[in-house]
Amino acid sequence: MNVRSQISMVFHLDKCIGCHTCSIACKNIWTDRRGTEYMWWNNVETKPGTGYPAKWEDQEKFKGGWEKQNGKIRLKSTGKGRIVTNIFHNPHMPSMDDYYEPWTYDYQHLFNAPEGPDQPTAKPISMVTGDYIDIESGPNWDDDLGGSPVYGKNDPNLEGLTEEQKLQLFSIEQLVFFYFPRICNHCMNPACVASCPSGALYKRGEDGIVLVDQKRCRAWRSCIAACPYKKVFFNWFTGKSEKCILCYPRLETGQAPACFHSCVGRIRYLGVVLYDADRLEAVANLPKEQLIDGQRDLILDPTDEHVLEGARKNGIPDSVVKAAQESPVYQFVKVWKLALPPHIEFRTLPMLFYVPPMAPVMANRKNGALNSVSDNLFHDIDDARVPMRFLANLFGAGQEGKVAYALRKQKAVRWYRRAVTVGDVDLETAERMLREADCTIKEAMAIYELTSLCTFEQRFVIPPMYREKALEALRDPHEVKQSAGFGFLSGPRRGM
Amino acid sequence: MHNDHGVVVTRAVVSARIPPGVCIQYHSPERTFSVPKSPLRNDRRAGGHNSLTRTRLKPNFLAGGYGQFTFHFNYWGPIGCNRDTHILVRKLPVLKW
Repeated sequence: MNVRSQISMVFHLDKCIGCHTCSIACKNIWTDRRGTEYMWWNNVETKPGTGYPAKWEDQEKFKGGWEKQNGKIRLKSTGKGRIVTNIFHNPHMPSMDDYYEPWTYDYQHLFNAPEGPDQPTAKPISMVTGDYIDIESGPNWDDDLGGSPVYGKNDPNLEGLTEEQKLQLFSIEQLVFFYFPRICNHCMNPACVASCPSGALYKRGEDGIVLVDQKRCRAWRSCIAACPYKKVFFNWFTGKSEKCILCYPRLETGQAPACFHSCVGRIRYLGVVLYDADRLEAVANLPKEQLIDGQRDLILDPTDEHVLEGARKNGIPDSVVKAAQESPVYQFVKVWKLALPPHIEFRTLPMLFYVPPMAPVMANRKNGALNSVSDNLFHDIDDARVPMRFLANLFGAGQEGKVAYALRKQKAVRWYRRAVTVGDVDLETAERMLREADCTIKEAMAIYELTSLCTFEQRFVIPPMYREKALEALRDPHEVKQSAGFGFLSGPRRGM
Repeated sequence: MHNDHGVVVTRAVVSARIPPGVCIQYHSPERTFSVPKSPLRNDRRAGGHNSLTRTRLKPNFLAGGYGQFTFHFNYWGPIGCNRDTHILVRKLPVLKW
């Protein structure tokens, strides 16, 4: 057993209101520099929708992540033999058209415009070229457009839905959408790290945060093609790749990352999990339908004696182990099995998990009349307006059972609390639902606490990072923030 | 979008969320940025500031001396039901700044 610690995350989609406060918090701290205008390390997508960059989930187009070949896994995008042929042009790399051309407005014109018959207006100008442009797309272009035939319909997760289900998703009073906030998943088996010919990307030993070394990056951009979530970006001004750093300077001083801290819906949880690195390759190689269980199995019980011994042997401080024991992520992912990895079939084993969203309250329609009574207490999950297949494509590697389990448990907890506080559901029925959803009263109360009543300290369990022991701590990380970003110890420079 | 009250030029999206024959606009965009000229207004810039229709005042709107009737970006207008109206929606034929 090779015990490693990782700062891991859960996003509770049932609580996301799609306000984009997270994106703005991130933008203001990290990507307000030249060359980073188009980057959204954190973005919020509407599902069904095409996302940012458009259709990032379509790996036929972008060739991100890993694939199985001859019993082993290999990168879809690149390899030792193929990198040379793609040096000048990689056909699978997203271009600016796939993201969007960042723009601002020519505000000066409002002051400088010559006198005329009409009020002046500030026209949009490109932040790349400075020329006037017509805005044709944006990072959030399909916001709230789940029911649109242009955006929603092109969601790659609609694969496998029946024609009837698809039709329902695009008809009035039937359509449905939910929000899908995304940051770097800080994967266990990151394809970006594996793809870098310069070895510039690395997964930090102490907390598993995936970073790009700005000095070693040589602008190969293999990471951008390799990341199936398209969460590594190329800074066209410095000629280096950049990505979400999970606000490590904030974590090191005991603060939650900016997107977590600012989250209005309090959907975000952060905590340490311990995992067994020895079995990582074997798990990444499992058949698709075993990946979710495989990854859960890699996450170790932080109270187990053998695990504690392994942690000590690997130099994981006791305070980090204690944080792992109190981790909300461990509860959501391993104990309650409520949180699921996004697209684990890309085989990067993402360490950001999502609690799938509950469907809108659904009534049965019988002979044109609404009828909400059914013998099957979970009928609204089985016949949800978000088709189970869609959620399964997104969070369950195609398995509806995994998603249904998480939704049934959520619903049972809701009904149990309704029986306790409102009393219009009888307790006996609620307890029967708990049993059918594989949940106990004790567990239901714990889920309720951590979902609804959770404090800041319960949502973010951040261990001390012991940066005083690291050499970099002696250098001032603020020195070049304006030109390169926080934590970079020298200014941006193109090329070698 | 236009009717007897005036003209508003804005971006539009088509979605199954809205019933046929209905369009929703919460605010009119500020003419201050990114609003082109409209041929329906003899090539003048269309639109107002946030209130889509004429603002019809009731005395209780005036109570309190709030800023909604003073010009400012994003000022408040009257409540939504005051704004319900019949309009025609047409695609802008030529983009003219």
